[in-house]
Amino acid sequence: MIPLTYYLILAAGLFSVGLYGALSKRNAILILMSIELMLNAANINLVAFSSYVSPETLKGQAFAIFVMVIAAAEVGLGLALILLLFRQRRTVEVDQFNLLRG
Amino acid sequence: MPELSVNLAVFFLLAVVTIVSALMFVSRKNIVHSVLWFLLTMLSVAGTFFLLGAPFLAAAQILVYAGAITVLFLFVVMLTMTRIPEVRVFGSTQVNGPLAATFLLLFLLVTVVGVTETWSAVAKNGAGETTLTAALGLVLFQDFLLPFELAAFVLLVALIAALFLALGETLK
Repeated sequence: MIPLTYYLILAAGLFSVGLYGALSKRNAILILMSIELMLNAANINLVAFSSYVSPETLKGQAFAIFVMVIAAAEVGLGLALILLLFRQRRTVEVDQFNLLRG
Repeated sequence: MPELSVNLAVFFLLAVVTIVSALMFVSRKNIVHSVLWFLLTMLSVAGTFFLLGAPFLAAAQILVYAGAITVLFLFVVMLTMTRIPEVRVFGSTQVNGPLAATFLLLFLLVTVVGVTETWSAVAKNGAGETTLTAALGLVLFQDFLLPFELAAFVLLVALIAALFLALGETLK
């Protein structure tokens, strides 16, 4: 049986890559995709704990389904907002949205 | 014992594919290439779910992430006509802030996980005589009925909001 820590380290690595993408990208679409990577890493953690700690209740998998639902809703709305921003400013580079800067 | 090593080999293959495609995703200059590597990452995470004994979640991952969300991203990439080359990952000589923060986080996570290795593998008695998907359905509709209905409501609200945001001009 694969040790639980292997899955946790995989999720940690995936989360870190997603975090790096969310911090360093200028394109808003890439930032959204990196956030999705982080959510997937959290899902791997949830399902791994569910199947190793309490495999008979499947609560981690149900939680992961709700995370997936919220992530899908967030992506839909985020992309709609990005499209609106593009219509206003003809760009999706987050550096260009600095109207609130003092 | 042979079953043990096959599982381990499959896990390492999936883990390598996941991490490598995630790294390729953040390092490509062409955004369409990034989206394709993102798709491969989602598929390998689905494979990880299969390995963890969550077949329904793996299928949902393929349907939702690798199917709908990737296509959504591709459409938006097309509609925003992105041409901007992205930041080079391993090219700058200055201290790369996000890179340093990421490595620090990764180091902390791996340290915590490796040091507190006291998780014990509970004897897998399974979830009863029903299949795993049926058991998950029972959990969703008995223990998590309220969150389930609220999640459906959230999806409805997100759908209406996204439609209104995207079509707001033409609806007036």
